[in-house]
Amino acid sequence: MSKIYSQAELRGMTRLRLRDVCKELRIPCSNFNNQTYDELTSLILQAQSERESSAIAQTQEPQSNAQRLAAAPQPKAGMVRVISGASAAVFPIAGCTIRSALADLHQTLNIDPNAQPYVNGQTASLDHVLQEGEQLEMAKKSGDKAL
Amino acid sequence: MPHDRLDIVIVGIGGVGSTLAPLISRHCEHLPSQVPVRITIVDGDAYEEKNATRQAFARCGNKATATVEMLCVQFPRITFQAVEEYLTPENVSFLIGEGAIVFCCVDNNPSRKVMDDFIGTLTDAVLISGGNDLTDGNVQMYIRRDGRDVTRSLSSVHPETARPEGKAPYEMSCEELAMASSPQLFLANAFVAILMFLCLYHLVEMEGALDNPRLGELYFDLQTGRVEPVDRTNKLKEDS
Repeated sequence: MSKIYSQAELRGMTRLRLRDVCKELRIPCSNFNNQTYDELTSLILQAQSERESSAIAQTQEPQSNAQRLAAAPQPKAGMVRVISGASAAVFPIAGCTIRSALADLHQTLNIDPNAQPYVNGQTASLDHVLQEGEQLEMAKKSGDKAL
Repeated sequence: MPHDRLDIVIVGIGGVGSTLAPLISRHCEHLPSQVPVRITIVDGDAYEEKNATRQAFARCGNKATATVEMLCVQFPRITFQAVEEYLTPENVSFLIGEGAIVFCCVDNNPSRKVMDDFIGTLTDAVLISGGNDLTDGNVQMYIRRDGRDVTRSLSSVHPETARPEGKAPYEMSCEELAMASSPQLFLANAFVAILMFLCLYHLVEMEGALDNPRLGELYFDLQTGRVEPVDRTNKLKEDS
């Protein structure tokens, strides 16, 4: 199995290196050049997570057919666009609450934990369940200085 | 051009305002001659030599007056007015009238709130507010049209403006004012100014921009080179 990259390691890579990692991991993508930095990072983390789950399943005792079906990879969650200030990317977090999505994303997008969430421009609570195609904004504080 | 006159108010003429004012003036100087343009510059502070790294000025002294002296020579078609005061809750109604386009270039949320709240009482007005931290910042445009919010107010989006901490300059002592500075980059100030100018360009040059604005809030990050536009259209059915 190829090397597992931590989020910190990925953050230290250039976009060009991230593209190469995607190719190493055989991540399907029609055009890596159109992917943003955050999208590439997300794809790599997602692919590694799926591979780990698959590897763990293979080391377990033989399962019954019912168990194998239950453990089969679920269809990928729908994509949600997440914005925080000038940072924006799409993530496969539909079906998650905002609260649970932020637990994974707050470092990636440098999100203020006290930021107000907006979904499609409307104020939302942290318990809102995200739907595919929605846009989640964690409103970044205004710049303070000008003088 | 969708406007028959332009009444522009620039509040704060420091790092952002001193870059913005010439940009606005140069654009307005060459608008159709039948469109009268008045630009009011409001600032109670004075230029000092130490401001030269980030602020454009020809002489020391009150910032508003020094700036107007410089601009009226370069742009004779425009009517300039200098107000040597800080904007306060007491004088805001004298400085901002119906139909004004207000550029908020101040460095404190209490003053932003004063302008934001006052614009919300007008039938037609625009508030374009900008600010930056060291390497990032934002510009937000609040449009009032026929007594309703076309885009959201500053306070409705940003709690730090709705419930500001700290003091406005008119509430500070001389000692507090002298100490109230923090590191800034000229590039960050200039970026804010450019984005504020972009908002004015949309309002002045694009038909229907007041009713269906394409810009709401713009965030930028100098480190990543990203600018992200965010829709701030008021989606509430009733006036807010």
